[in-house]
Amino acid sequence: MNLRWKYLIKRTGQMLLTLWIIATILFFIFRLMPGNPLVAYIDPTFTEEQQEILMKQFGLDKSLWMQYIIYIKNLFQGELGQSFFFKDSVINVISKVLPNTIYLMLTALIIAYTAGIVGGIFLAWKRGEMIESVGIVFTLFTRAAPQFWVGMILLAIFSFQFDIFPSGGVSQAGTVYSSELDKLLSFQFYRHLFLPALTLSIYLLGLPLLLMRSNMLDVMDESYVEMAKIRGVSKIRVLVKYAARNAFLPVITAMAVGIGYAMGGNVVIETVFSWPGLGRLLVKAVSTSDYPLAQGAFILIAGVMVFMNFVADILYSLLDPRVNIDSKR
Amino acid sequence: MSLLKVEDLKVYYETTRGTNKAVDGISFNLEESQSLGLVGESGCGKSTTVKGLVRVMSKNAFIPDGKVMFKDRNLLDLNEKEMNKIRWSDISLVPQAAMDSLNPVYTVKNQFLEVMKLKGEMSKKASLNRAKTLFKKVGLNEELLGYYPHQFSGGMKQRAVIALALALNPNLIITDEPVTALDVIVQHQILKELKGLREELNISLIMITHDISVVAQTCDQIAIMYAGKIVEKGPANEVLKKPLHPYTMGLENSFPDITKPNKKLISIEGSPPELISPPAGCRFAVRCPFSEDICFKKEPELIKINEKHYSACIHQKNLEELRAKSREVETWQKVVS
Repeated sequence: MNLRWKYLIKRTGQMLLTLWIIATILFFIFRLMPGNPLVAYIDPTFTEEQQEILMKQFGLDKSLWMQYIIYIKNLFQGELGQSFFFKDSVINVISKVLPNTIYLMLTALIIAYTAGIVGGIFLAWKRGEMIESVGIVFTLFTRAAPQFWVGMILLAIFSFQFDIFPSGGVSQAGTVYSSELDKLLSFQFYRHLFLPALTLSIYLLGLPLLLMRSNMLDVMDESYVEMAKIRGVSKIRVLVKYAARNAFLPVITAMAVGIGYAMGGNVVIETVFSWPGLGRLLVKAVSTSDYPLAQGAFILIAGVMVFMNFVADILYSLLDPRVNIDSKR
Repeated sequence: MSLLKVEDLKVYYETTRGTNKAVDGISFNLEESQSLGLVGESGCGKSTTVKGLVRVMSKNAFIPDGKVMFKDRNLLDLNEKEMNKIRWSDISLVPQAAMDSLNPVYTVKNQFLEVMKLKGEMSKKASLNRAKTLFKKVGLNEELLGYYPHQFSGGMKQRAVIALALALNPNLIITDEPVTALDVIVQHQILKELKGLREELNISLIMITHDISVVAQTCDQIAIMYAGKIVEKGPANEVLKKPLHPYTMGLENSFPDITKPNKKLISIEGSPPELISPPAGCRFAVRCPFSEDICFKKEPELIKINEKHYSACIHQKNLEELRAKSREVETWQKVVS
């Protein structure tokens, strides 16, 4: 068995262990909260017997350890339980909104990281010039501006003033997409996606841009960059193949971890634009004490985060030969 | 024929505290297929000189004056594009930090092919063959070409960088402290190879070093630099055997000599002057055991003492006596008190 496989197996093991710890913590947090977890589900008018039947139905009459074992077993089978609020399986509820979150997140991430990397290279290149100072102030502004505020400004301009883009949701009132594919092929969907994605990109832009810029400045002082110039390599080639190629490695890690954050962290934007995504679902789950749903959503977000970290490691080893997981080439 | 003629070259740095005159009017001449050792302690302007020659300088550096005549063209008059044509094809460099001079994310082969593609009309296959030949020449297995820089040891990297410097068959190679970071055995091997390659390929060499013993092994000519100026220059064996400048005498004392195991190592006390506002007179005067009042007032010119030997010191009589004195520890210790 070669080293690469060994590494993958080791890393997968680590991931599973992390997820198991997270699942365990989640289980106990929800169980140890004061009050009966079924409060949200049980109507006060239910009789004692009816309540007990329900408790039995949800397995809450068993000991905590027994519940835990069943919970882990279900988790392994991909079973996340029933949502109290939606009266449907958690998997179903989540999978209805998850695609929306993914579309929003990926669009915004791709825009933000592309613009950020290019902008970072540009600002580093213009080091010490007026445009650099302006660029930095502007970037800090986009990073500091609250998301809801940016969202509202964009809505005010593009939606209410000029009526170019719709103000919320994923589809026009009264219409429903027949399938995910139908949604992705529909022009309407992209018109709805535009403003929330732009708002999120503006917020995400700062990190890759500033990170790229400062990495560029470090790398441009490296002696291999100076040597490339002495070898007569053209300015633009030095900038891209030597400086940027080395500077963007840490940005990749930031991006992979950023995906994890963006999964669950879009509550504000999803609310401003009435975007039916995971963030809003999570808020609803918490506010209605729908703990199986909250638990499921948290596990999913944690899973994505852990997995993206793994992806970042793999990407890094592909992009930087020094971190290769094999000892030889 | 003269290959490189540097005339009154000045390279200054603009700093917040004023202008640092790191290289302040140096002149030297390098004949075709000759080798010149540029020797001096850290901070004397050796590396700045190199950067000025190839015109790859930090943003705050500038060349206020001087000429760099290379094959009868003044490099300082060329624009960036013309200069890029000369870089590496005519003048290449083995840098001070060979360890970090290769791009870590590309294989060594890739970096060979890059320079050859940029400059030559050679096919990829021919380029690869040349890289292999050069690797063999510097004593590296050609298989190593496909490796990444971090997979090389320090000595291997240094050899690879030398091979890379030879890639386009340049007329002039500048080596900046080429062996400083290596252990003595590898140092010796690499110097020997460098000398052999230079003779075999008929390449001129400028070797920058603080280690006078390295120059003794490799160079025909020596120029001694101190605080941004050349204080002595001439044929290597003459400068080493009959130094004219007290600084050169001091330098020779401060390196061990395996042929004289009992030789005492004597260091030159004090440190070089700062170059933002250098003192009037001779820049070495404060550290010089033989300095007189006039040394602090009038700056000595670099003048011809005999046929090929130049010195920038007013003491040109009783040299034998001075050389003898310079070998005594007390002579140098006296200066500090």
